[in-house]
Amino acid sequence: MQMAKFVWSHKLVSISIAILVLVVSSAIFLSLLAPFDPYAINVKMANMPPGTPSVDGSGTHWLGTDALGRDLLSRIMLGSRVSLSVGVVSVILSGTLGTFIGLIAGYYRGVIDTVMMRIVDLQMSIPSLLAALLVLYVLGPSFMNVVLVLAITRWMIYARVTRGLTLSLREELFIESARALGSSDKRIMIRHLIPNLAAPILVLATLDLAIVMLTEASLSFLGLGIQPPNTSWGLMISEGREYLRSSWWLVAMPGFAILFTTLSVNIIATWFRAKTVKSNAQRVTIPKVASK
Amino acid sequence: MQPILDVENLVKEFPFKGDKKNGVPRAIDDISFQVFEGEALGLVGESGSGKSTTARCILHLLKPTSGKVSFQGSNVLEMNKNELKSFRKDAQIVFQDPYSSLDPRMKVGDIIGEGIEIHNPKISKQELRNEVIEMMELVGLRPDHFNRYPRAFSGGERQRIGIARALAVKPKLLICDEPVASLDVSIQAQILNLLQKMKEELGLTILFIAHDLATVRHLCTRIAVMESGKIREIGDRSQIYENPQHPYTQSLIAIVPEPDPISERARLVERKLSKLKEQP
Repeated sequence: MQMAKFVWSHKLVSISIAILVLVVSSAIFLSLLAPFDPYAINVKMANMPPGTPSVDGSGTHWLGTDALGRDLLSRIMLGSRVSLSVGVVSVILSGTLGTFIGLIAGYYRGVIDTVMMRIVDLQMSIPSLLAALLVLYVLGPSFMNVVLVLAITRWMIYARVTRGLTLSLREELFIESARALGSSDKRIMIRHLIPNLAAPILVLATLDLAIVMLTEASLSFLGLGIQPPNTSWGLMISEGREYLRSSWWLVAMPGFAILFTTLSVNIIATWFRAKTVKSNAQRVTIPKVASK
Repeated sequence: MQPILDVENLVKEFPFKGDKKNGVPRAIDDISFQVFEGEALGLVGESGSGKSTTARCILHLLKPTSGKVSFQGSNVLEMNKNELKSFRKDAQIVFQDPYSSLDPRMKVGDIIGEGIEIHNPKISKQELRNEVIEMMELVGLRPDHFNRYPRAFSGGERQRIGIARALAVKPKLLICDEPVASLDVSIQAQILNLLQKMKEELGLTILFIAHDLATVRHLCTRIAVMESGKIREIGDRSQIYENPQHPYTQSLIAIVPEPDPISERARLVERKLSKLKEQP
């Protein structure tokens, strides 16, 4: 009953959650859910439009087949594995690194702060896709390299946001009273600062997940991301580009997969942010009474 | 009697960049006073007179520019890490704003228990819980408040949480930095009575900071009057109230409202008349 109420009052959010659950479960339970073997090649069935029945009559290629006759739906499900894991792992890496650096810089101020923030400024001034391309060109494309490059090009936003929040939090009276109780710096950071930073950082990470997934798609599209026979959504679009005139579904279907997934993530992030802002608003601070 | 706290020639400057023609502003300008064991000393002055800065310097939350703060004979400003930690157990503070002084992401039980845990990390969960609940009952909170978050409480209850947190480490000296200034008048009386009770039951020494003489009249036996970073007058309650020497103290006395509405009205009329007489 409560769930039905939630779904009714948050239709868009519910749809987004459903889409994400679908994408995540198809990535995890690929062998159970995929209608065909995503690696099975059948050249006779190349570039068949959506809805074509399979050659042995056992099923239907609902989203059509690619240039090698592989089932497109199964390929998209295979691609979701890479797209999701690249996104999640690099967001966790960059989020942890950025939050840590921002926390240290904001809490201790001084020289550490200045040096760290100038490094952030410096890296902010370089277009991240360009930097990623350059690094991947030198290091060579591989799953781990893509994750690392995406993490290293995205940590600054976490550092900036965390530092800003820490600067205002450290002036709060509850931090001063923790210090008066004899808390060490480490304790203040772990027990007081991080719990208060968690909600905004989580919102940022969710939004960033969509951006990272798109960047991964761009890198794979440009040929410096994931390499065949493994696949990701970006790589599928890149491969389908040659047949765009005759077989539009090769580009459109993975494109829709990227669109709906990132859109869902964004909608959930926005909803979550609105929710946490509401609970923060209850923390009203009454103005200091004028002493006269 | 032995002073528990001895402040000598304390100075705190807040230097700024730029024009220093008029010198560096001094929030505290060479003050000295003593707080004796078991007494409640009131520190009264208008906002900006340096009261809160004094409190922070005594607790070494701020580093004073010069001067000496002795707590039970040892200099607070020269303590090493361990000495400072045990000093933090002996001297506690209750802040003015009961809203921003409680961590919004911590449960009440954890807030009150934090100090106990810091100074006795090996304490068992059950023991900690018992001590916290004992503390909560002492300040008039219900044990079922343990698992609630601060946002569920009113200003007065939050201030009780703040007092329980400070008293949980069993301090000898409690600094109250305008603990009632942001509360309703009816709640103010409750909190003042609670502090009075704590002082008697626990044998606390209190340094009570306020911006008017009415608040400290009840609780404090000695009063120090502060203005623009200097202590203008210090003495027994009766002396300050009945025979104020410094003109600033006299003006503070003049604005203390009378509890009786009839004499209060008469007092206001008299004040207006004397002001009219002063004008040429």
